[in-house]
Amino acid sequence: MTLHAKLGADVGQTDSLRMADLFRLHDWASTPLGRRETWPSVLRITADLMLDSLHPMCVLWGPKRIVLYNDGYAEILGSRHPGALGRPTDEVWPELWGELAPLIDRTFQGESFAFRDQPLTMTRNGFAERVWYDFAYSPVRDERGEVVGLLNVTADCTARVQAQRERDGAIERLQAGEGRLAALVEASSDSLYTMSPDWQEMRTLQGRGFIADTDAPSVRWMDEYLFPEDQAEIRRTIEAAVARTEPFELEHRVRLADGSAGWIFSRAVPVMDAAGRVTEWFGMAADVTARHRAVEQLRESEAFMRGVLASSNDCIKVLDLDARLTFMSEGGQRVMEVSDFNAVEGCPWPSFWEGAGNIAAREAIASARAGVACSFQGYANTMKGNRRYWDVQVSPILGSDGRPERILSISRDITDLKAAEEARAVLVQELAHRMKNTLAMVQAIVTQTLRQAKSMEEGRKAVSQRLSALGRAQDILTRSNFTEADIDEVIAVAIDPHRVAEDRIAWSGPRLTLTAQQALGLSLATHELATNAAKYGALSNETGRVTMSWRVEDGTFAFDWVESGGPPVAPPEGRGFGSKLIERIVASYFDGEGRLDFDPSGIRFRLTGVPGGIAVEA
Amino acid sequence: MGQSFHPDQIAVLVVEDDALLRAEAVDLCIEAGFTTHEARTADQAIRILEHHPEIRVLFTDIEMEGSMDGLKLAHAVRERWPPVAILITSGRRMVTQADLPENGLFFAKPYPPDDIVAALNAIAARIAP
Repeated sequence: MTLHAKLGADVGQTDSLRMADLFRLHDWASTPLGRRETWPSVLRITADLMLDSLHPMCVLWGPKRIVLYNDGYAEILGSRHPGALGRPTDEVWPELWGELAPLIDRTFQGESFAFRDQPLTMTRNGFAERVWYDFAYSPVRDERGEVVGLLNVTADCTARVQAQRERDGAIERLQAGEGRLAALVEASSDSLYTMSPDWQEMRTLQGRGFIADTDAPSVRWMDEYLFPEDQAEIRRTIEAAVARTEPFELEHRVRLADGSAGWIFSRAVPVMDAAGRVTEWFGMAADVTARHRAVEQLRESEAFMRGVLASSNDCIKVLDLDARLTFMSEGGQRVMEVSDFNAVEGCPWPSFWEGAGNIAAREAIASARAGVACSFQGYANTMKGNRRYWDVQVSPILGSDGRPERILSISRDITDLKAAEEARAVLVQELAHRMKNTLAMVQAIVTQTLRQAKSMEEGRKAVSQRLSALGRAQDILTRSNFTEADIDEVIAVAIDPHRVAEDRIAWSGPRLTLTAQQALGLSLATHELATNAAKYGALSNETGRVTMSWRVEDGTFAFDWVESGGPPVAPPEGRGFGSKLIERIVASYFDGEGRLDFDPSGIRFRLTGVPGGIAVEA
Repeated sequence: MGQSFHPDQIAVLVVEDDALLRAEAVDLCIEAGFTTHEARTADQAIRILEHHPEIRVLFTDIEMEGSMDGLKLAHAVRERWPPVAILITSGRRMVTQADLPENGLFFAKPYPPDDIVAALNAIAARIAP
């Protein structure tokens, strides 16, 4: 290879004379070839052929291997030209003779040799230039077939060699690149796929174990790898990527090699030819099933926790150590009537509490910061200003170092419970008051009765009967929480002990509600009238009748007691507690008047007043 | 009874919204020999006081309807008619001395009638000419 480089060292000093001229002028007689005219025809023909050729050529002739060459070859010879012409080879290239001689000898024995891509340095254009030549040695025979010379035909193959070298370099780089790519692909556990430009066809897929391989192009790849319900969304993403010729990227569900559902993160890029047309899509897909499942589980667990927090009507809050609000459960926002958590986030929590609750809240925070849970109850307004009473648990949330990191506060709305407690306390007070009031009434009835009793026996009896009447009236009132009673029921209960015969006592009137005092009063009045009727009036014989009736006209209540068929009535000598009760006391309960008429045909009593309530005199 | 004063010249005003209790209280005062007036509300009581300067004792319940309860009435009377002695009764409230006007006396319901009579007599003795 280097041999022919050495053949033409220091190329460049070409003679201005053309080789044809040099041939003509050369003193051939002084060479073993002798004068040109004496040359055998084969030498002449060979020399002429050579000189006419545009290929660089040289001839080594005869036993001395005399060097002949043309213009083209003179360039190769460089500084050896023109001295080399007609000289023996061993004198032209003495330093190479050892290497050249065997090849030359073998050519003279009939062999041909070709040396391709021999590198040379030439200075054809004024600067040293790396060039490549092909050399071909072939024997030249005379008419008898004897080898008499060697023809060396050369060709400048620099362009080819350079192209070749560039190609080789490119291939080498490509191979190195491919090697690295292959190593990368091998090192990655991602699956690889190639798709047709329109993604209708999957050309290949290396599933890397987690999804099935596709070795032959398939147009059914969607059904093979994707679940029917996922296909539409994936197809939309593909169509968008294809339409814009932009990378496809999507995390989606796939059918794994074992048939179960998994998740991949898939990314594909378009591969384009020189004309910018997409020839295929090359993609990689990472198995993200485990991560996806973990995320899914986390999401489910979060949803579960959120559901728990949301469904609780307790107000669950997380505070920082400075007692600022950082979290409030959905259920908590509901009961606290918080429409926008941002409005209260960061607010100091104790300031939600009023009065004693505020002090208790501050103490609870201090306690939780010290690592001790505690609880209190107090009033706090909701965000809409509704006052609520809360039962509050405040406890530290410990960090990994075991020290309080945040504070948990759970408040339960016990307003109703508190109201019930307060109502019970009020009720107890009310009951005590009623008892005292009833006792005062009993005292008044007893004192009044005894004051006018003619004997202990009469007094004892009257007291018992009056208290009994009072007791029955109380029974009716108990049913309505001592607020009101139906007049019909009041009459029925009051008259009951005096009903001597079903048809002798009758009453009628519209439905009417009496106040508690009116009910008690009318009960006592009915009792007094009935007692008197039984003693002296219509109920003292076998035929007398009592008729009670009531009505409301123009806002005035009127009640009538009318006796008939009894013994003739004589006005009493004096008025006792009974008549005082009937005429004055009961009338006062109705804010009206009571009038007792001792009509000879029967006692009449008329009570007029305000129905269902007593107007207070100004 | 051997009193050296004339109770009928000293009038008592009974204020009680319950007619039965009022009737009994009135009878109690009359029985003790005092001229007795009665009122159902504080406003009624004020009007009666305005027309009867001989009233020297106010005997009032606390709970009652109207613009004033018995305690307010008592304070108003102490303010306007300082010499009028004040007796207060109630079934509901635990009344302390601080709630009462000066020299006011409190009787929890139901009260022993004799205690009221004794109190009235003591007042009558104090203000007798």
